[in-house]
Amino acid sequence: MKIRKYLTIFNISLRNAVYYNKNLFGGVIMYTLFIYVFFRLWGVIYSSNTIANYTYSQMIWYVCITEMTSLTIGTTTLYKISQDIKNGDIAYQLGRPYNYLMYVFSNTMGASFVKFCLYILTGGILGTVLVGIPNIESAVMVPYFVLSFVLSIIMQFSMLMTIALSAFFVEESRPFFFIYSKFILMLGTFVPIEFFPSWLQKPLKYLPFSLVTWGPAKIFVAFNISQATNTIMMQTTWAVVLAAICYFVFKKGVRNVHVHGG
Amino acid sequence: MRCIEVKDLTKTFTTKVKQEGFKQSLKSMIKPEYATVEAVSNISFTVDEGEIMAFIGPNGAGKSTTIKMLTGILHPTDGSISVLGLDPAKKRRQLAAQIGTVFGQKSQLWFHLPPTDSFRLLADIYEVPKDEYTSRLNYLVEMFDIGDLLKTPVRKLSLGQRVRCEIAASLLHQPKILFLDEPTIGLDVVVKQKIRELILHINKEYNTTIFLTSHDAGDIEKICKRAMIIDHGKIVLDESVKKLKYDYLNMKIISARFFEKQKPVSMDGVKIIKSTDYAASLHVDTEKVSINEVISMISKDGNLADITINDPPMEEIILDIFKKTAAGAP
Repeated sequence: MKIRKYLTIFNISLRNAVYYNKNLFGGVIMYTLFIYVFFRLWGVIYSSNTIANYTYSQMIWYVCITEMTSLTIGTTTLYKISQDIKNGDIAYQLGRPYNYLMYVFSNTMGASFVKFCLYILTGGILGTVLVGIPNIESAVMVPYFVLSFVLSIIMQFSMLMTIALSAFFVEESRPFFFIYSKFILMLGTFVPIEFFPSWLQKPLKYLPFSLVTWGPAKIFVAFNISQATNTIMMQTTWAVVLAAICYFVFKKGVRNVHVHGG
Repeated sequence: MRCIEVKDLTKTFTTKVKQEGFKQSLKSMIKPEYATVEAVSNISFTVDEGEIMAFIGPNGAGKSTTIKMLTGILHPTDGSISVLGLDPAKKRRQLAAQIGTVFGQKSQLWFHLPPTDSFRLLADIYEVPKDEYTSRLNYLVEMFDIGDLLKTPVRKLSLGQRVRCEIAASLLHQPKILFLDEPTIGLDVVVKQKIRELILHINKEYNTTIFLTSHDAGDIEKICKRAMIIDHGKIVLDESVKKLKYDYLNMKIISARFFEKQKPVSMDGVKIIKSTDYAASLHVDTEKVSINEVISMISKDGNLADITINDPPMEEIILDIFKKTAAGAP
């Protein structure tokens, strides 16, 4: 596999995102608002010192991280793939000598990288201004967090891409995007898994929807080596499984491609 | 050398049948009804290396479907295709490296970036070596006259400028076959002419095989050596353009307006389509009578106010062909 072409795709997509920067700033404003609302909300709720073992400061940093993780990918880039499939634009992209999934991945990563830089900056400033610098006990956390974050991005990409590719089979994929983003939001982004009733906590720790946000954020705010290892193992397994499903759906979909016109 | 060989190619689509009314909608949710549409049925043809081939037909005739099967995007329902010795459905990526495609109504350039970025990306995708890319780009820039456009974001280019960039982009990797799906759609006469010259030039210089679909009789007349007419998924006619021209393109339509009342024209080879006191529409067969003679005939008493000479529209030629095939005479 020639890696060079995928790096160029990444590069071009990144430049495209920088050129077309209006929606980037929209995203930053949304992110800031979201964090601020949570800052006020948790400020009222936190009368005691900790809830489910999270301190107020940990809680705010938790939301800063989960929001960054899910917004970095976003659904818009991949929703466009669904539209390409429907209106036939995909014909152009398929007829090229590259791996189409790798193309979309590099393309998405290019745009996501710009967003990532913006959100980590905004998140860092917001968190520090609102509740002070995070209380990090050990530097060992950093590689675990980075790894968990990268795995989360791969998992999110695979899930979203599978949903986008469902446009090969169903007439409208938008409801699936909607359901997916609500799952991500409810199971891990808003509140940590530990806030759910104990019978629900166990399955949630194994579900990809919660692992993508809760995983890296938990490692960041409350590092525990055995739990972090466990999270990363679960994430790795899911990343492989989800990527395989995505590949399978793509292979199946391409045979099914339905391009009308002329 | 044969470079495209198609045998008994068939493509059917299954579509959900939608009926009117809420009750029917509910019913189709539970038990959807399907209908099969035969977009391309049982067509066979070959294209030689270096040939310029026009693929003509009305909307929905199956032109694009065929191009998409030839480039490996759609999988045929039945029949076999060989392009450059490869089966497009199985070796899509391998084939993609050797062909270029331009779909007139879709863009392969990044909308917000200048064309030069898209060019560089395509060069990397097609694995064009750096020095080769530089010389190739210089050549294309000069030939397509796009030097000034290279640094302008694509969204700011006019359609004519964009199409020139699109075609240049598809030639960066020196494809052996160039598929053009309605390349001149929506362009003005000057740009159309320029695009046609460029296509001819590419064909001469590199012996690139050109496979072109169009609605425009001019495209076919000016560029192609062979034309294939398709309708309802079937090939109606496969003929050299010379022959086609002889049979159909020697017809001209002359519309004239007069200052004063005119006498109806009567000449050999001229059919009157419409004639009133002050205007006439004439169908001229240039094989029998030259345009010059007709014009001097109708303008001889200084009565002529206005005149327009047109090719018969492509639709008319196709219609004519259909009538003839239906009558049994090819």
